[in-house]
Amino acid sequence: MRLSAQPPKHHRFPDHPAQSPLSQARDRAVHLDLAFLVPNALCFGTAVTLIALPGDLLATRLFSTDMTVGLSLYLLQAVALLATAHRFDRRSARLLDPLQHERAEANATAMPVQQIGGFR
Amino acid sequence: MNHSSTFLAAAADDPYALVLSSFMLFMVLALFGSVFAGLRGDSPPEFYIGDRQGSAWKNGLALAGCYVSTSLLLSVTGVVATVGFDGITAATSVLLSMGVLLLLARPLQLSGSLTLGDLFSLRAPGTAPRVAAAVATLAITAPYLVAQLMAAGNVTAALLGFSGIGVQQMCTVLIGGLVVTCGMLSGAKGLTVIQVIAAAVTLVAMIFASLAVLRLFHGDVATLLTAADAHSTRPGRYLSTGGLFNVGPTPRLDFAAGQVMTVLGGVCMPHVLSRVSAAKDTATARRSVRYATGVVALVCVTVVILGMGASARVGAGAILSGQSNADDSLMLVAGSLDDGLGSGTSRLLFTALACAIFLSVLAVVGATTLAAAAVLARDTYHHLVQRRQSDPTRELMVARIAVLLFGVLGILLAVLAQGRSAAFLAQLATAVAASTVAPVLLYTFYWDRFNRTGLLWAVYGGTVLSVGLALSSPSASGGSQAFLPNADFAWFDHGTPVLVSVPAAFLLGWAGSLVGRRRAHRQQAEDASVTTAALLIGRTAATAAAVGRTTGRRPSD
Repeated sequence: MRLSAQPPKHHRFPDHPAQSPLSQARDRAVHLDLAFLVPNALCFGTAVTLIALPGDLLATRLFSTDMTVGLSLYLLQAVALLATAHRFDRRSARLLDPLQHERAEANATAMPVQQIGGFR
Repeated sequence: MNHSSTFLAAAADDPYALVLSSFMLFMVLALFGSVFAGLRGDSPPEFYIGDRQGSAWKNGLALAGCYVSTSLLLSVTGVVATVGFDGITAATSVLLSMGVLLLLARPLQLSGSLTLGDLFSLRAPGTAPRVAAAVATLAITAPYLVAQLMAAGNVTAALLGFSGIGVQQMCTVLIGGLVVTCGMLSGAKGLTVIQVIAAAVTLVAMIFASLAVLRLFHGDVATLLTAADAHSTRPGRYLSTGGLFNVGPTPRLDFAAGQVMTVLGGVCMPHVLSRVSAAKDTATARRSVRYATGVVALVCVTVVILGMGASARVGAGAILSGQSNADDSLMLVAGSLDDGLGSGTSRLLFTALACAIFLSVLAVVGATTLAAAAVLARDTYHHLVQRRQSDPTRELMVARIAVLLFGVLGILLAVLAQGRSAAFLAQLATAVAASTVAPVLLYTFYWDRFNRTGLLWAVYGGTVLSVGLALSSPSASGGSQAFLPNADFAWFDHGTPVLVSVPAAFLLGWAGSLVGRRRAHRQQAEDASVTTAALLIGRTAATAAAVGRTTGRRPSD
């Protein structure tokens, strides 16, 4: 199975001449999603793995302070989420939002949306 | 003596009078505001999701209002108070699920969906996906509605100073009746007002209560943590895992699966998805989720602080005395702040927290009822019974009747279930959402080859597995804290069904799509590719690109 979130190698560069405008736009969206998803998924995956593993690594105190590995990991997750969400929003506004407005203006005679895909 | 100090002195003299009068005044104002906001004539879409005119801040607060439920405010606070670390993990997972929602915000808004049936039909037109959506929506919303109504009855009875089942049932009926009336009259526009007020009041009340708790410990979190550790059910192991799930062959794996359930299931509730669809454009949808994430993050931090405060000030033994759960922790810690704040201010804070919980119930129950009514009126009546030919006025009437019927059914079930474990029902709803809606949405938005067969296999397989395994787990029967303590038919020896149901639903979606693909021809495959693009970058852009592709020119030329 190939997920559409994993573009083939020649699609890595958004402005590659071999790509259609549709796949360029689509790849741009997928890259943005992945840039947001990967750090958060890594943090969450690490936390879930550490929970599932035997032993009590999460309760280990850091440098003899009250802060434990578990607390610092969850704090990191929260900070990573808020930071990447801010970045994701900014980049989406810069790269994807204008695309919709441009197309809407340039596409007065476009094919009705019901004729593509499953939309109705 | 100024007005403020007179008011506080009166509060100290007659605390219950103040609490009750403030509470009733607040509720009447909130309900009046919601019904007034929804009085203008509605079209069916406006009744389901609102007028799509709200700003990002308003939408964000409304989203936070329908997302922050009593499960987070009462149950997670109780878990932090009694066992510590597992509650902190649960609060973090609630926050992380907002990240998943941020990812889904753009395609959700671009899909223009009003119900889960509209979302399911993006890849698979026809009646079967709409029936599947109706089944999934009812399987999620029914237990969730009952759990929220039960919690509302408990909190209101406690506020009145009663703890008997009869009073709780009466409170459940009264509050349920209020919410159903409000939902029928005002629809989504009126509920938006309640959700915004609920989020704002909850945030402010929780922050003030947390500051009051921290003040009692001179702002020293380490001292608070030490006191919480000493008075918890696990002294010395307060920051270790294993407090919540400690039975069965793989308690740690069960707990990790529970986190996955919270992250995937929390955002896949139909009423939460509708709230994101209600944004006017993708930028507003994204910003709404960002602002809601900020609000939920703050609420989660306060839940952890107040949970620790409850353990430190009240003690886990006192919280659990005579109770099967620790859901009373929040109100107990709010009632224990007299010596730090003075009894007047303490009572005001107690009232504010009670109002916050009650408003959360109103916001969540109203949204849940509306989501169920929307799927009944639009997916079942409009699309299946009337073959998309129904009159909008008639569809609106059917929607209002559906709110009434579903609400009354929920109230009856909540009355019957009062006194049993509400946590089981909330977990059941989350598990079904994680096992049905999450795989379908992720495949719909990110996998071109997902089709009707895959969708039906994932939805029905996920529903049967999650409901069947939840009913066969020790949370349903076979223990003193189970939902049915006098019965014993548990054979699935794990704390949560998602350990099996979520991977199975993803596998079924994939396998079904492979089977269904053999029947599809090439044109459908190309259309699916354009559908994916439309969900990622917008219908207009995808249409323009498709025109460019078919005519051999660039759409921007």
